[in-house]
Amino acid sequence: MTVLKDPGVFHDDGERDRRRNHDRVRQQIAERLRDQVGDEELITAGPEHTIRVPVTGQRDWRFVFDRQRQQGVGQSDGVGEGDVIDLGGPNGEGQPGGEGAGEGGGGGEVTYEVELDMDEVEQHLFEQLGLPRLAPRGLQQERTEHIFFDDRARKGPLLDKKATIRANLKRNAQAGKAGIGDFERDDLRYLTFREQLRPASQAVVFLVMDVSGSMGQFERRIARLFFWWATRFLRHRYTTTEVVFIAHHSEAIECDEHQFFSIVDAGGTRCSSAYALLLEVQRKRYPVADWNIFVAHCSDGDNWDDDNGQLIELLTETAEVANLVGYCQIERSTRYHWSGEHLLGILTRADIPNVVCHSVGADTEVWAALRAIFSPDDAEVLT
Amino acid sequence: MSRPYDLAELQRLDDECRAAAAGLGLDVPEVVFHLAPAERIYDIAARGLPGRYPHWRFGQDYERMKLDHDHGRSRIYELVLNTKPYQAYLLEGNSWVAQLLVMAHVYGHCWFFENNGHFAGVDRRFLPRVRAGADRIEAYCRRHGRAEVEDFVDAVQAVALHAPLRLVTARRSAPPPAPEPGRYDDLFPDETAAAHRAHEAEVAAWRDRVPREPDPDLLGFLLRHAPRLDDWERDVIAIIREEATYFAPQRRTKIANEGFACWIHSQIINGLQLETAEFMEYNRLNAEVTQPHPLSVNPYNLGLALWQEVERIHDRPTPEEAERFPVAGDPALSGRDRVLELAATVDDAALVASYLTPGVCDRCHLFAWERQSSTRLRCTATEADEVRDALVAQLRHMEVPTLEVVDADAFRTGGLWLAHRQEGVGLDPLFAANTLPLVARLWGRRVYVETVAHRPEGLRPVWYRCGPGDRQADTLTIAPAS
Repeated sequence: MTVLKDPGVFHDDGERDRRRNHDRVRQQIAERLRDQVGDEELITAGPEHTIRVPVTGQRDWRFVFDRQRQQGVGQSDGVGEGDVIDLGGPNGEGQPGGEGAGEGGGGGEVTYEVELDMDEVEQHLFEQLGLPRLAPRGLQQERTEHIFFDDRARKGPLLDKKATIRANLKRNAQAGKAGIGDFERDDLRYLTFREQLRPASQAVVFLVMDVSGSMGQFERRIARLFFWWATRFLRHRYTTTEVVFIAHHSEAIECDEHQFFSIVDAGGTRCSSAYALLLEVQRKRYPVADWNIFVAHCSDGDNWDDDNGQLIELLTETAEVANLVGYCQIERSTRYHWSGEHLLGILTRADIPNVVCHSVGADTEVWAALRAIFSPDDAEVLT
Repeated sequence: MSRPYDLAELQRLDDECRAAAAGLGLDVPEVVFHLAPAERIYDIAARGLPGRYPHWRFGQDYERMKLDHDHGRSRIYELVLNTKPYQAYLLEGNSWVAQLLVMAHVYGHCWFFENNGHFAGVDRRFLPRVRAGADRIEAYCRRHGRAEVEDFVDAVQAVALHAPLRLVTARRSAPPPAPEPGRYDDLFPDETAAAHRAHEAEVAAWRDRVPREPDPDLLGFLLRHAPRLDDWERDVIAIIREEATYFAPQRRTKIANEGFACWIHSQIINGLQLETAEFMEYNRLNAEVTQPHPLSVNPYNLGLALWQEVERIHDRPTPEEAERFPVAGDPALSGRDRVLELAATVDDAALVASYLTPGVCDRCHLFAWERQSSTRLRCTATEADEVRDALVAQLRHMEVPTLEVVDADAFRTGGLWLAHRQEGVGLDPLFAANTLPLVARLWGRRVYVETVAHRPEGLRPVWYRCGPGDRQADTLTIAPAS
């Protein structure tokens, strides 16, 4: 009689309930995700990337007949009376009675997969991190505490019509057409809300990396993972976050992101140079009164012995202006021998306030380092 | 190569299907087709009806179906709602042939919904009620907390299948009959007086008993009699019970309905002029849909075979069949008319009971099985008679054990006594022990279930007992005394 095009996209009950279900298995999802933090593919794949994690959900309890005495009728060619059919594994796929996941093996649980996009992955992960040791900073401590419909995302509970139209206009303009029309899925923007304590101000994060010859492929990969997640996390928490890249060997330079990860220098290592530059940049561009300052430093732990004294001095000075300094030492068990003492030991002994140190020896330990540095335990947990 | 199509083309296909269905002598009701994206279709498939109340379980099913779809593991080809007008969904991105197949199939379903007597009581304007119910549940979520409402909905869903086929289920109960006055009563005044006293006591007990007759409508009983429910909780039960009642006839007529729709779509499509490649694709899709499953019956496959058998028996009965089916071979009625006539009345159990002949049993490779262990089945029969008995038994109860409310004041402490009455098979202990706490949550006091269990020495009675707040029910092998 009539064929209509369903406006489909304006009904997102399925999406809403999917999120509800994720809420129920939040704990499990977060646990599974922690292992994935060390997965480089996750950070290179872009925002459209999705990952799947297995979770265990509760059974659909209801009254059923004794499953040990179950009888039924099936269809199969060549089965004769008295034949025994093996269903394979204990959770064999073809469970009779076929009501889906309700049936299954012997336990009280069913396993299924959930799919998450990067927004959701970050949301799940960053819930477990906090911003510790935030010293009060005048005006910057003004915080807002309420539910905001503040974020625009490609999916969410509430369609943002204005933003959707704007996105559509933009896309049409890019295609050389003026005007609104031909809405596509890409155009849709949603408001997502969260209940949050939010620093109402801006943050700058200094990424400091040792680029001397002793930093090999492995060290650089870990550093990259660590920096990526640390920056993502701070971006997630602050309205504006600026990033300053400082690469150092025996001297330090400020550079852009591309250079930062590609410079290789054969020289030795003098960490104090990085902090001297950092302080200079900070004084010039990021006054303490206006900025929350974070420092993330990755190194393999080598430093010239005669530099350690100056390093401690500069680091102490940095720690006074910064909200938090995270030092992440990347050490592989099979690394070559270094005669001097590692920075980790020296810094731990110095015990400077606002400086947190952690070591990472494998991909899977990146999360532990992030968690140690952005520890929610002794901080106000912003959730 | 698949033919491209747009809305106008689909409209043309629809008109053709409709004309073809009318040509087959079907009086086809109005159908609205929606061309919708996968998200929309899987959302409706997960919740059964569009706009149903929010619940995490629908989200879980939705995600599972959508993942399967995204990874090419499964596709829902048809989705039709039994409402006025009938609404059906076409999945965007399906091929031209697939859309044609779905449309032709949907016309079969709609005729079945329209004419089959089991759907006579269904409210065809149900969707607005579903939405209104969902809005109310959403409001309760805001007022009483989402987690609390969802947990309550979980508990109700656990027994949602124990809903009746009709919403109004007045069960008549008459007091026990008085003893017949005998001619010689006055010769035995003491005995007569004793009989009258006994009768009065019986009547008094009958009057006090709640429910007066065992009541299989567990949800309805809880709705009316559960002592500790809030108004919103009763409303949630009523909403879910109403929805379960809406779905009940669909569960009862799965094989008959799907088989009939396949029977119709093959006739419609055979009447259209398809190109060879398209016809090949049609055959491939058809084979996919009617693919038999080793452990259960594919309703499309068996249903189609059964309706074809109905037609054949009418048109070309064997002498034995002519004797068994009196109308078979009646020239006043064609085989196809006979199918339509039967399709207006049967449910699965009736159709299978009458028409699962040895021919159908062979063609569909049916066999009966019983479980030996959690991973092994044993084939118990391939003979039509035994397979038919097994299948009919299964279709009668539709995998839902019959539970009756026997006493709502067990041990005079307000306990709810449920009896499971089924010949020869008990409740699953694990599921019973975990479902009963949910019933206790609804009733608010102790709940008992009386059933049987398989022991090495044979079938033995067993009881489950659970109080509100218990995590698992106790299993008792002697009758509970409190």
